[in-house]
Amino acid sequence: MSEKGWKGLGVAAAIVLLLVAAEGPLMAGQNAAGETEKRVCLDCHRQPNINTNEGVQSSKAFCNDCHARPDCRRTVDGKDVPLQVSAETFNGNPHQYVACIHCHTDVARSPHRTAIGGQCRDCHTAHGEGTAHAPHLRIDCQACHFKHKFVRLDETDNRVKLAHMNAALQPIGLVDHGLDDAGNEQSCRRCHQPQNTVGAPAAVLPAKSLLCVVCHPSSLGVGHPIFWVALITFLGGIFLMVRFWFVGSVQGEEKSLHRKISLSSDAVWQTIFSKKVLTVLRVVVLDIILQRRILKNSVQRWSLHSLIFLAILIRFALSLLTGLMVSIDPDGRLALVLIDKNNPFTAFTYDFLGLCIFLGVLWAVIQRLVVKPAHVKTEIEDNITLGILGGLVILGFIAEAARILMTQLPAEVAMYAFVGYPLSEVLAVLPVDWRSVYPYLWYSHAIIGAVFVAYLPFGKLKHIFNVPLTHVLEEVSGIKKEQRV
Amino acid sequence: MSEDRKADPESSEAAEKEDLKDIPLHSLKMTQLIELDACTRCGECLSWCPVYDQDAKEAIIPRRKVIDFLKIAKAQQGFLAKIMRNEKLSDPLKALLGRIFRYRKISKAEIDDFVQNLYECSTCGQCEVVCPAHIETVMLWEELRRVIVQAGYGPLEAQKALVKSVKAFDNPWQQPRAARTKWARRAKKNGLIRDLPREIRKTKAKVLLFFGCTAAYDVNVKQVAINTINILEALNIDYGILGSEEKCCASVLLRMGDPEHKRVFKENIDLFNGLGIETLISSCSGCFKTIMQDYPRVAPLNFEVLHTVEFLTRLLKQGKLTFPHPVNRTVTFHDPCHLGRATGGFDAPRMIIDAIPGLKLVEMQRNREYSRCCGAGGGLKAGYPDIQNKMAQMRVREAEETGAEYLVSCCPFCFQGLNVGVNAVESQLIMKDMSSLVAESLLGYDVFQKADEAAAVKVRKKEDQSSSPQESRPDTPAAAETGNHDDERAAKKAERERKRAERRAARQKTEPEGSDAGPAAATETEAVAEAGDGTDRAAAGVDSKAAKKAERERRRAERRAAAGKEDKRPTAFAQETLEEETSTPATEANPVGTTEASVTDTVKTATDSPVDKNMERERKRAEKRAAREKEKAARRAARDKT
Repeated sequence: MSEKGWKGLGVAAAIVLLLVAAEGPLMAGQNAAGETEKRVCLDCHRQPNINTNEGVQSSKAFCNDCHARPDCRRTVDGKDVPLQVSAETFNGNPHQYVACIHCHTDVARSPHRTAIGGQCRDCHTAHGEGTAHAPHLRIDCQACHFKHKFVRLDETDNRVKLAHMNAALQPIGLVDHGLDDAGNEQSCRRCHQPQNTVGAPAAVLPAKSLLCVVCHPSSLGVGHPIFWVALITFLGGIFLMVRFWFVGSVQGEEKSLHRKISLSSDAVWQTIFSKKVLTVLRVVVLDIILQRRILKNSVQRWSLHSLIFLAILIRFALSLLTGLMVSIDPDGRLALVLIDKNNPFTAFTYDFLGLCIFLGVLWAVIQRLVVKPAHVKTEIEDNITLGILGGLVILGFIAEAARILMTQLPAEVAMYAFVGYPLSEVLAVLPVDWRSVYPYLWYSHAIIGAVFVAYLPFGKLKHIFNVPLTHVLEEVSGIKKEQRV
Repeated sequence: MSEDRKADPESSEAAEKEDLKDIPLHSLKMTQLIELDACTRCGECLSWCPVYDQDAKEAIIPRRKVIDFLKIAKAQQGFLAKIMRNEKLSDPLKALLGRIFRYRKISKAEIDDFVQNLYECSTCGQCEVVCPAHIETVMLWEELRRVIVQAGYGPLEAQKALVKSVKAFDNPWQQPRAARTKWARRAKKNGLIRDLPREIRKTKAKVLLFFGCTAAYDVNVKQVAINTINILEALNIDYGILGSEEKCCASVLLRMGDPEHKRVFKENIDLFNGLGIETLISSCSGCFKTIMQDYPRVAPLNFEVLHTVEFLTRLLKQGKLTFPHPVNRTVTFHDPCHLGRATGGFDAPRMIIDAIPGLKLVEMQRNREYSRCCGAGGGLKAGYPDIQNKMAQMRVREAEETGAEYLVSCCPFCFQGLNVGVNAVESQLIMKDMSSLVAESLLGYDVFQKADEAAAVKVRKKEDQSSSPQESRPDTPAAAETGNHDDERAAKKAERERKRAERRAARQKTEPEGSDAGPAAATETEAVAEAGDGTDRAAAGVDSKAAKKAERERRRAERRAAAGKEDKRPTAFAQETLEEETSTPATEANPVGTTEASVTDTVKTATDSPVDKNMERERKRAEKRAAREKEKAARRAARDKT
């Protein structure tokens, strides 16, 4: 072979090798036809940067090549489904500045097969107690956010979904990319109407108020007017209480309110930024949380008080923790567990603590009305306080039972609410339409809760604020009784 | 109070017209207003209050006092009260608001009721210990009393004499200042102390012994002062006393709510701080608590304050104190409120009791921070003597249950207070101050017993010389003292004459019940017997009590096989009582309980007996002289004050 011939062979071999090397990935990805397709398309149509407006526009223009046409249709399960996306409908929805492929990540494959559709929660977080009630955690986003009239409860996974499904049993929307405004009450009426099929109450209920945080995870807003009234009354009571305290002298200052406020706030900061803060912490744990002074005097009284006090305190702590977790990581496992009323842990814990409060109140009522020990003097304030607490807990349990009954929770999910579930079985026997009654139960519970909060600075429960304060004051600035020998 | 309103609509109308002085809330501390608000009305205080145990009125327990005070305060200065008192508002609007919010002016009667209840408290601090809300009640009561006094509603009539006396005489017993050191001279004369206590101005000692008015003035409690001196001398402590310069610690003023306590506090603080001492010790728990805890709120102290028991405990821990002589007794210890609950001194007295060989401590059911108050403090004894009496009885019964021989405490006030109970229930228990146990263990004998024995020997000798039974009447140690000071001599002479007359009268009356007892018995138990509260004596009757006491004394004397069996002085106790009581010029309500009633009652008992007319005249003359002396003393005091 001539030298030329060898050279030609070498070049050909190099080309083959290059070709083989170049073809390698193609060969490897042969089973993924979409990839090939994508690659081929993208040879000309570069992947747009969908984080820019231009990229979004060019990406959308590419999709609209086909999807803007009225004849863009498809037959699914023998049904003709329009796939047209009109500029009018799409530009009206919140996603108008989002590229189609932002959510439809798998459309670059060909043919256009959507296995899972757009995943809302890739971008959006689940609603917590703040926006909607916890029951909404078991509702698919599309059930509310698609302009679709029908929703259903899928008993296999206990979720509320769009009523229409594809062959893979995935819910599908029958309209062209219409996203409903879920803030519009009309959209809520899909479920919240007397004839609903998913177990929603007949009325649209307001979100929980900040005031409910004493016992429930809640939003940061005040919410319904009843809570506004309660909040204003509560703050007025606190103001009157503090105003009365400031009649007294602070470090010898008897006249000037300005100076009194200045001196007392000085004292507070000086305590916080000193070793005394450790004393305060010790008092908080031993005297305020564990109530050792009551325990020292009487185990019975400590038990009674703790049943009510510790249970409320733990519920309050759980509410705060939930709020904190939701704000840190809304879709985190812990946040979702804490928000979800039907979660085994949450359902059990809240029921257990509620039961503790109920037993505590019951015990107190027996003590006051039946046992009547010498030191106990029952005044109207005591009766009001016990009445409010008792009413609150009882209505809470009934509302829970009605919710379980109404939302058709399967037994294996509901049974962790060990008070609410059996009660729901009892309620089921009664010839009552609980979906219609539920809103009244909820409002009754909410109103008593509002009264509870509003009454705090006026009645017996004022001691919730004063006694811890007294403990801290005595420990920080009270008479010291140290051993001298 | 709400019931009153319904029952008497006129009273509220009257209240409308009354222009009552507002209680100066602004001078209460903010923390105290928070505490008042913090009361949950749980009633724990009711279960423990020692006063409530004797006078079961809801109105006197802390929770009710808090409610009532708040009611008064808010009706006078609450938010609604401000609106209702606003002159710009029209009357119909006020009437409407008043009806809606049920506003009502407070009447004078309601305030007076509250004041009565506020003072029906010994400020023992039991409620403070048990209060789940951790309300500092003792300070709260003191401060409420202060604002009540400032507004002109307190203290109680019966307590005013006390307050006046402290301000005028620097002691609550209405005694002249110069008499403060009298006990020491008398004690030296009787051989109870070897030397007069050292004066700190001369010795420049580092330890100041503060006696307090009760130990210095009250004959019943002088043993506390005497034993303390003997202890300090025996241990050779470099101590000193203020002597006649010492003034009341003014705890009485503080606890009655008199705002002038601050002036006395400041004067005393300046005095103490100027001495250059390291430690101030006091055998009186009340003085100790006041100086240790209440003084620093007025001005800082440049020395440490300890109760004598704590001072001794410290020496014990340092190995500087050992108890050589056993005291073979079973005792029970009563924690004084002011040493125990108020300042946390629970361990020191128990450590001393443990350290004294032979001494066995049996605790009462309620001890340490749950110690049941004897009722002597906080002005209760002056304001409500009968309740104090019952409280002391209760405590003594509790002590009896332990089977102890001695009821020990370390506070002259408790000593007095509990003795009221001992006498009232005619207990076999003997009230002792801790100092007497310590002194006995250190010295190996009881100085009083020893002095009595010496006196008895002296008496026998005198009797041998004399044939007339009247003239052979032995001079008691107290009577033997003539006094060297010119200014006191005249008064003493008059006193002696009067006493002699009364003693004869008493003897004539009680002689038939008498039995033989050693003369030692009479004087040895002088302190114990005489500490018996006048009130209680008045209630129970002097004669039978005296006879029983004498009986007990006789038995004890027999046990000791003291000499002088021939001497027949069965009523020596009664005589001594008379002597000492009449020597106390206090005629108004008196914290010791030597009330006017009791004195007159006792005297009456004496005059009822068939007495020689001459004696009667003599006695009257002596009384007049004593009264003149008292006037002089008061004038002197007034002069001193100006």
